[in-house]
Amino acid sequence: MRLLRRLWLASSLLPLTLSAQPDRETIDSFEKVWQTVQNRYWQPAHLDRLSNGQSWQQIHESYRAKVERAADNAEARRLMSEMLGLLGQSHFAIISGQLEDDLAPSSFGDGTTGIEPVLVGSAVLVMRVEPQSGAAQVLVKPGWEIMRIGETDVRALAQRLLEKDPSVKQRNLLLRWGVLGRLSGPSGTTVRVEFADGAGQKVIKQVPLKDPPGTRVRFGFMPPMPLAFRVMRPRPDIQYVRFNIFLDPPGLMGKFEDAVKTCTGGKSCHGFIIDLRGNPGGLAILASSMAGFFIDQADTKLGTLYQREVTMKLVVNPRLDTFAGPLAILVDGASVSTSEIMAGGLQDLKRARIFGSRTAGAALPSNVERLPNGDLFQYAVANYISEGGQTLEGRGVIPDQEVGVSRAALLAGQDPVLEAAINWIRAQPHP
Amino acid sequence: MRSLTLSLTLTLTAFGIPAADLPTADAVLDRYVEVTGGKAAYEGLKTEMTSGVMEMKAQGIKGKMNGFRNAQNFSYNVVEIDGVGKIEEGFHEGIAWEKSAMGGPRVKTGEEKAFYMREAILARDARWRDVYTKVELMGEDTVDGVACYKLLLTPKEGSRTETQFFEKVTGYRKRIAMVMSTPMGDLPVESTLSDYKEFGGFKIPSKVSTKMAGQELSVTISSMEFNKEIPASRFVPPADVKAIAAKVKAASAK
Repeated sequence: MRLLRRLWLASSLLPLTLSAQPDRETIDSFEKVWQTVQNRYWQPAHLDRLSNGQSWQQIHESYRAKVERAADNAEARRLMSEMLGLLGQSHFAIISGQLEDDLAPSSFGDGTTGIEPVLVGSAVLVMRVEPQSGAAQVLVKPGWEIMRIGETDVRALAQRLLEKDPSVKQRNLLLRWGVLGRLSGPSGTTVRVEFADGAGQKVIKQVPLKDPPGTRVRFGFMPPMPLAFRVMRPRPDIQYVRFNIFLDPPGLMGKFEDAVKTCTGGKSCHGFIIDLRGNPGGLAILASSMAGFFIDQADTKLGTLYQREVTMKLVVNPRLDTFAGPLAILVDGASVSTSEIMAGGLQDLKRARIFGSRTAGAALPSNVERLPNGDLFQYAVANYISEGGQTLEGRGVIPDQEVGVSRAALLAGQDPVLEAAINWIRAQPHP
Repeated sequence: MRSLTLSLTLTLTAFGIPAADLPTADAVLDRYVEVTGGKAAYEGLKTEMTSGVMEMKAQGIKGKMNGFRNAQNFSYNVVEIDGVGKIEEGFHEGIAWEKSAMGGPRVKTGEEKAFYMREAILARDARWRDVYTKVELMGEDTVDGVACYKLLLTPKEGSRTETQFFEKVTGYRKRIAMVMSTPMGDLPVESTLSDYKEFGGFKIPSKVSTKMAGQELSVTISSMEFNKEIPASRFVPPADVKAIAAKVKAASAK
């Protein structure tokens, strides 16, 4: 999903360098993209009627002709993205190789403010400020509204997105990414942010950009990303973990196992909370792997992946010591992909209670491959159906307990979603 | 045997191929043993160590792999992939196991265990009569433009058959196709073998390209060593795997 974020940011933020007409490699890339969908799309019947009423076969000639006539590679790329958009599914994207190189070292990775934004109504609020971050250093507070970042009017950005395509399913997600992208940059520099504080007064801060917490990890062609893992006890007998991505199995799973182990083997632990808010996903197998710490029943699965020719179960591998107590999972509109598979699967198995707001509904497993012209092509390879028979794509996970985030609560230093989970755990019998 | 010959004759007639021109499945398998090292050499094997590289080129995923086998038919394989970590698997004293950062420790059972038991057998190509209860010649076919004999092999352990293709001219094995039992379900797998090279007196396919679930994975073997001492401890499963095996055993005894 990060790649999708980059694609979206690319189209909205960066003026692309104009070059000559598309080169041979870009035409070959078009053919590879079209052919991959033709050969790999999990439900061939869907290709017979796209959102424009035509079939995938029918659009080949017209899009090929458009790509050949494109003024430059950037336009060819936009046309390929438009063609993929006709599928109406998440996890299909073309990312410029040049853009990838330009963005990877600076705009995302090097420096962040430590602000976790949330969209409440049409306002983008500070939901959380990471300890020891630049935002914490200059005393940015949860609940403040982000009015302007550099030259960008954030309210207008939100408004534009709402007006541009009112049907867009992942509006909250895209807006959040747009804000986070603007709150990133080279480490050691600052970003000027204008806030409205709790009293509605304008507050201007030069927020230092620092290396994000955690370690930088990568997988295949995906660009390096920071993996941050946080474990804490919001109450002495409740364990809480939060991580920002499902990648780097050795690092992530080791920390996760350590966090669970403090709750197993007779140790005092009433409940466990996994916070997947803002988590864009990653390796789907890690969802079922983590579920193995909470389920001791063999032959249990989170759901099923349906490819064109094979069906694969996301089987839970029960660990030696599992935690049997109450399990709460926190989600929001920026919980995507593997986050949705984990929350939806454990919800269907009635092993976890889900708190927060509906997830993004972008849960298709995907591959990322390099195209002949150096661009990256992300494409979904399967449909995912949760154990309860739900297609999460486009629908998302609906929490068992919907908990909204209000500005008043954030200003008061509260996290209503976390509090709701804690209260539920407290009401459950001890394991 | 008579009925086998009859059905084979019917099958070949259906393909329009004169049965008299075709070798038996036994002959194809024995020839493979001869062209890749000879029965005597295989019988002298006590250990086997393999090193190579595993790659999913399209996804940019690459890792180094090492494999070990001994005369007790114990095995240990490990792949270390950037961004994924270590994936270990083995077979030891009746326990087929796997451990990875992604999936944790696991004990294999049923068809999956049967497959790994077969894989662990040292010099299993030469011992095919011990490994398979039935081998049948299904006819001729081409694999990547190469004329091959097509065999169907039914293993002694487990019920999943293997379809194997052997080059008519060289006698080398060209392809193996089967349905593998995995925790995710049954997956059709097709491995194409190429670039036979000599390692320690044996001709080994140094490239294996495998297609499974829409993914393509290639293995390139860089070295194979035989009859070097391998410490017994190399094959012993990790403590958590042993604990799970004991749990599985206790559960199945109930």
